[in-house]
Formats: sequence, structure tokens, C-alpha cells
Amino acid sequence: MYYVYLIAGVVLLVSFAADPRKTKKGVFIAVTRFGKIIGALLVMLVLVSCLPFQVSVNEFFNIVGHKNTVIGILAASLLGSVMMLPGFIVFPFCGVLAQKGVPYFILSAFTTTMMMVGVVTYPVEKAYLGHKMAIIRNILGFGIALVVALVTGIVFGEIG
Amino acid sequence: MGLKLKSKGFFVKMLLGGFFFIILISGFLGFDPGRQVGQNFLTFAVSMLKLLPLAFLMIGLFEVWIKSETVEKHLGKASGVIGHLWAIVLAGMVVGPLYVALPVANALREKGAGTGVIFTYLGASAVCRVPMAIFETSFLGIKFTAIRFLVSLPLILMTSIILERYLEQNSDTIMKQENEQSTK
Repeated sequence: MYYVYLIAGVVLLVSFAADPRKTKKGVFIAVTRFGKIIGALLVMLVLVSCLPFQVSVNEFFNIVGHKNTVIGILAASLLGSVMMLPGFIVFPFCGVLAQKGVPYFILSAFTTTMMMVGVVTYPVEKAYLGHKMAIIRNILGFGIALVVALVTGIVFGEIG
Repeated sequence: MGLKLKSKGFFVKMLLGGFFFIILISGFLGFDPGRQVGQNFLTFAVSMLKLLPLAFLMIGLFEVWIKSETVEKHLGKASGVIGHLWAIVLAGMVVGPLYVALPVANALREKGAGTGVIFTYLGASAVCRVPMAIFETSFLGIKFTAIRFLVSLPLILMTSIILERYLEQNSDTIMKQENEQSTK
């Protein structure tokens, strides 16, 4: 993570050395744009923090993982669409689930929708794309995630 | 796709106000679910604040240094599939989730990147961030990640291109709104 700060610092310094006036203008743009979106970000934060991920996700997968394929994929995709967790939590968690015998296609549906579909990021997305495009993008993302999950199931020999 | 944020709406104010009120009260009364939500809020806010100022700083500098012609040439409508491939490469280097990719996409769009390319960028930045993918393979295996990449990327490309065509054909309805927004 720290190398990102380092790169940013270097870029800022180089930019300032090259043209202080331009750099100041750039920083001003950064601040105003951040200010414009902060309301939508706040709404997103509130939604995210209200997600009940204390609800035993573990049990959810134990149930879903051993039910029929269609219900399993749909349930995992819907959960993935609603939830938003950082990668460093999701992947170790899914690793554990895989060892416990939850099928890979279920995990694929879950993680791919989590990345591609964002119910809670919708306020931010709407601010940038407009509601129509935001909805289209999310629906397409959901569809793509379903295909990815199906192919995963087929390749791993879990489906068909 | 310019900003048209009007979150000063009454409803949003009520929502935010109510939320923080409940969190505060829960803190004082020791209401555990409320405290948990407050905790979540703080955790997420901190992880967001680690990334977003940096992202916006880079966007600001990008805005003053990079010429529109450059972006248009490589990511504009005329760039074709190469533009989409560039978008995937760009997305692969992104650190952070959708709420970071969106402002970046917005900046690219304003510099003349094509609509389809922007959608490819957003899709790819969700699925194909390289640092995240490396982490993923260590827990779920390379096969799992490889399938995700190989299946999702072509689909993202395809849907983006189709979406762009569709938007061009229906330019009266959607693109007009978009332009109005960006000129605000």
C-alpha cells in the first residue's frame, strides 16, 4: 500500500517542479471533484456499514453449497451483489469455504458479483453515470458473473 | 457522464442525520448492533480515506497535464479494439474498488475517451486488478482466477462495444441527457 503513497508523492513533487501553477490548478481540481462526490460517498458508507455481515455467512454457504445448482448460484450472486468486502477479507474467507467443500462455482458467483455488481455503490455510480447507465452496467455485470460461475462449475467438473 | 450530484436532497439529509443520531445514541446506551454498525462505518471510512484523496490528486494532475488529443487518440471512438485493450491494461493497474475506478473513468471520459472504452475500463477494473488477482490465486488457485479472467474479459469487451452501438443509435434519449449533465 505504501508504495502507492510514495509514487503519488514523487509524481506531485515532479509536477510541482515542472510547473507550480499547473500543479496548484490540478490540486484545486482534485479538491473540488472530491467535494462534489462526497455526499454520494457518505450515503454509500452508511449503506455499507448497515449490511448485516455479522449474519452467519458461513452457515449461508453451508446451506447454499449443497443445494441445487441454480438456487445455489442465484443465492450466492445475490449475496455477492449486496455485500461489499475488501479483497483481503473475501479471498481468505472463500479459501476456507473451498476447503470445507463449498463448490468453486458458488464461490465464483459470490466473488465475481461482489466485484462487478454494487448495490451499495449505486449512489456513487448514479452520480457519475446517471441512473440508467448505472442500472444497465450492474445488470450486465450480474449476467457476466453468472456466465463466469457456470463456466467455473463446468471446468471444475461440478456442473453437468 | 458529468457529475450531477444533488445529494443535498431532503431525504438524503434525513437519512444521514438519522443514521448518525442512532449511532451516537447507541454508543451512549451501549446498544450493541448500533455500536457494530458504527464500528463498520469507521472501518470503511478509514479504508476509503486511505485511497480516495490519492486517487483524486492523481485525477487532478492528469487533468492539467494530459492533453485531450492524447486520450482521444488512444481511447477515443476511433481507437477501436486497441482502445479497449488499453482500457484493460489501465484497469489492471488500478488499486481500489469501484468507487475509485468511477472518478478515474469520469476524468478519462471528459478527456475524450469513448463510451464503450469507459465501460470496458469499469468492468475490467472490477475483475482484473492485477494486485488483487495475485492475492486471489494464493487462496483459490490459479485455475479459478484464470477462468474468471478468460471468461469475463471477452464478455466485458463484447457488451461494451454493443452498448456503445446501442447508445449511438438511441443517442436522442441517453447521450443527450449525458451531455446536458456534463455541461451542467
